[in-house]
Amino acid sequence: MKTLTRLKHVGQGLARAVELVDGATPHTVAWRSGPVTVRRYAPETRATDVPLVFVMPFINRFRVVDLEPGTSLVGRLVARGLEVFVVDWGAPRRIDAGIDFEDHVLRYLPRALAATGAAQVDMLGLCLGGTLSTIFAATHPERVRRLATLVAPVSFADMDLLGLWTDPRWFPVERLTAAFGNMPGPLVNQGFLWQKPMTQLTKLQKAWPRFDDPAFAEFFCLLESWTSDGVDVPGAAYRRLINDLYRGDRLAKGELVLRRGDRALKVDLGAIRCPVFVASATDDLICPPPAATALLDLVSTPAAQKTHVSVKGGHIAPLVGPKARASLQDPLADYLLS
Amino acid sequence: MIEGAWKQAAEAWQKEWEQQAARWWDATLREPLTLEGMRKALEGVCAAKERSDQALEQLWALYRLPTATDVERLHERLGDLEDGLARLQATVEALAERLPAKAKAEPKA
Repeated sequence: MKTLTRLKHVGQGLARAVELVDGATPHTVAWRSGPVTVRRYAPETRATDVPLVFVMPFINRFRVVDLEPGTSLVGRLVARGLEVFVVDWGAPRRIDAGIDFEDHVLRYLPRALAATGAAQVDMLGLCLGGTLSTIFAATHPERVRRLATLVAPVSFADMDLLGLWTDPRWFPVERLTAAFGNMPGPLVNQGFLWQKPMTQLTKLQKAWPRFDDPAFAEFFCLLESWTSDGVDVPGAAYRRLINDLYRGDRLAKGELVLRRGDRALKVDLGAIRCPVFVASATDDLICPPPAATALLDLVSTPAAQKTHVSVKGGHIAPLVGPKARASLQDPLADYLLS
Repeated sequence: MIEGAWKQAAEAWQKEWEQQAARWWDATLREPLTLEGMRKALEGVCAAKERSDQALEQLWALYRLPTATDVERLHERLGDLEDGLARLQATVEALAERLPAKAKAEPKA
């Protein structure tokens, strides 16, 4: 009998995952170009005039920040009165293989900001979206009032297994992107899953008794369906990520250069003087805490305007899971509204 | 009571086994031999993709259809064109901003 109940809850969870494939919070499309979409989430009553631009990582679907009504990070920020514009990089096709950091930072993000209609915005970034937000804030400091990053790597000096696996001796990134155009999402995903193979092997066995709880079964299905639904990464951006960041640690060293035509723009994190909020997770293997907190040492922001929140757990669940409201979502909203 | 003790022992054994296995995996995944195997596997995947793409391109060319490479080249040129237009637009906007100021400074006689 218990088995049937659990299977029923899993079935309901999977159906919910299909239903919420475009996120749980109502929104409109503010701007779209190629694979990139800017989604606008309007609050009933605005608590601030400054819109929040929330930049997603370009290796995942955006819906992780809006998985279900009860735990949605975007939903919570909107409920607190913030107007949120989510920059969703979408699923690139082969023709988008040339999209690089320059396109993200100098082409798409300025247009996303234009879609808000505001001269200055608050900027929030998740994972590599936080890395892009940081690069944007460093190159357009006058456009960003506050910067907040969630489990976003800035220093790639010690990335443990991911650092080892992307070493030029073992990882043929040039050949992979030349052959596939874009880096296939399932291959990128394997890199994350193999960091802890035992966790992957025993995950379902450990979750099984907890499927008695329909809320847990739903959240499990939503998170797993998102995890296994990775997107391809534009080849040029992926090469840049591996060569300049994982192998060269150029952002933290102040050596990252963006090029547009004849222009060369050096990314100097010291140009960031606005208030900065950094969230890291204690057991994060994708963005180890020092990789995220390095930002606080590299910006010119006064010490009193630097905020660090450490949450317990891995890369994603502590930000969007059932306990996230108290540990992260509300402190983040308080910071953005302070 | 005995059943509870057995259950506890089995859980403890499983936990210990998982920890041992996790340590073994972690060490193995850092071994140069494993990493070399990973590189070879990835290169094998690339070689297979390159061969299948080549075969497809030949087939496409046979029917005079544009290949993915042709479309990508076209896309690159369109991208260059878009950049050029954006630069022109920025120049025109800058000129337009300067023009009224100049017109005010030099009124018609």
